[in-house]
Amino acid sequence: MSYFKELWDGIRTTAQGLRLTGGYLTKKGVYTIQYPEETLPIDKVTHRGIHEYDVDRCISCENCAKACPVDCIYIESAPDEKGKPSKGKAAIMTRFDIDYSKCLFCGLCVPPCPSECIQLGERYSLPGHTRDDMVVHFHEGGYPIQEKTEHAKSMIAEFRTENLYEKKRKERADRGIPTLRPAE
Amino acid sequence: MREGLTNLLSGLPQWLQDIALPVLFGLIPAVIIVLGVVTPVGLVGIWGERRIAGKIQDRVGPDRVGISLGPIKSRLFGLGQSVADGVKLLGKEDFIPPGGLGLMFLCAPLVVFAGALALFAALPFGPALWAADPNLGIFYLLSVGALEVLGVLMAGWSSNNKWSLLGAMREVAQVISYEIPMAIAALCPVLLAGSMKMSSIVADQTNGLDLWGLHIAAPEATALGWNLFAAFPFNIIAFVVFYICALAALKRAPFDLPECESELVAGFLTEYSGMRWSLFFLGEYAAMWAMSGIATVLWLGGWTGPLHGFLAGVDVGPIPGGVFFGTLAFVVKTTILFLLMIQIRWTLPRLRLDQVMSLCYKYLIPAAMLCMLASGAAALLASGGAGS
Repeated sequence: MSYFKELWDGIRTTAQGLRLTGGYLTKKGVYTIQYPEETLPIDKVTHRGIHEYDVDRCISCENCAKACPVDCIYIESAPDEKGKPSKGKAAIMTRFDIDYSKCLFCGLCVPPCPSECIQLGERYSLPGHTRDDMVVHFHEGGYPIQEKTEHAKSMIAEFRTENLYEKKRKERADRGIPTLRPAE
Repeated sequence: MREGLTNLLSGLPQWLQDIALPVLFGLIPAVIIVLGVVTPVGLVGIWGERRIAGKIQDRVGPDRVGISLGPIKSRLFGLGQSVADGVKLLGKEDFIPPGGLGLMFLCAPLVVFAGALALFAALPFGPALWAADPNLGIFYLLSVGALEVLGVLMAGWSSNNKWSLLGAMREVAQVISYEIPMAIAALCPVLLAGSMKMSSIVADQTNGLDLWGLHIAAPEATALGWNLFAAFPFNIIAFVVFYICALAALKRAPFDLPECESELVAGFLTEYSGMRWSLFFLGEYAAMWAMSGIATVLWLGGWTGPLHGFLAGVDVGPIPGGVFFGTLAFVVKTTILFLLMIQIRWTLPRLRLDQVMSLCYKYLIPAAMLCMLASGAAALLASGGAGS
């Protein structure tokens, strides 16, 4: 009798499987999303994406580069009157590169920053064809100023009253450093 | 038209006529069938398979490649995907494995494709819409369908690759086994119609239900005349047996042992690339559709049925209604069977080789024989007993 039992089991399980897949065939919509057009929401508290960096507020202290465990931050600033790299509020950044083929998004660069001009943002898409495409030139601008903490807000207010944003922007333009970010 | 063309050519010298006539009446229609029927069936079939697979797996599938002609922009549900893939495959290296049997390796995809193509020659699409209607139609179709085994064996043997050879051996063992129940199941409609001619088998399915000697007259549109309901319920079983055997003969999942990726890389396809590889695929999908067509003719009434029965009198432009709706009915029924093949592929897991064999020899052959016996008895009862 096991012959007929096997036969029946075969028919029953095949029908069961076809009913299941038939249900998916007639179901409306799909589980996956069409990525470039649609994106999933990100958790703004825990998400660690590509950095946001304010080139005007950076004081070129290099604390972030020192903190970085994989040494993927490269910082250079223009020389001041004495010929040394400019530091502090007057610093003019000529290079602030992060190599995302190395970066592990640990976030250790964020706490040491005295001017709170760097943090991990929400963007995560960085497609490219070469390793050089993985290096983002943050000193060329293009990323929003952060106003997340009270400290950052007060610093921004200070920079605005001293007109430092415009001064630095003009100086960078004189030195031929492109500023991609639109003026505020 | 044939007479007109022959008269037109009669002025030419005899040797030129001897060449021109086969080309006109043989080669050109063959090319039209390849370009007009088989290739689109293959291309759309591959696209349909991928879309359905996507839907079953709760994802989208290929939906990007459409047309972009100036202001006309449409994704067309990704219908262009097969064309784009074909263009990509054209650019691939035509690799011939060193140490293999070169000429056999090159010919194998052509044999497989030719086998699939030849199936369309005797497939009746609609009333009087066929390339040929030989007296031994179903015999021809089953024989030509078996040509694929030869191509696959050639491919596996000539590849100089153990995976290929193992895949080809499995294919031969599987297909030769499944041809037995397939042929026996196909005999049921032949017994009922008393003919192997495809058009006779279809015509036999229009005149009502024959139930064990009891004839219930019913119009064609009720579809009760279909062989599926004859000798109830044995022809339903025969239809299922034939369908399972068609899956196995086409090496579709769950019978895709010859190319099973998890064990044999790609089986007999391992060494193939570019257009030769895609010829195998085009042939597979064309043969799938043709096999569904054969099952439609044998059990589902071919072009007859509700659509043809009701609307045969309504002409569509210059096309007679009988031809238009008959062909439409045939295409619809065949496509439904084709889509079911795709759904089965994405539903059932692959069988083991011993399971494949035991399914054939322990279950399908006895079932097919029982159905043949019942169909023979039903045909005998319908004709008024022995000796009449």
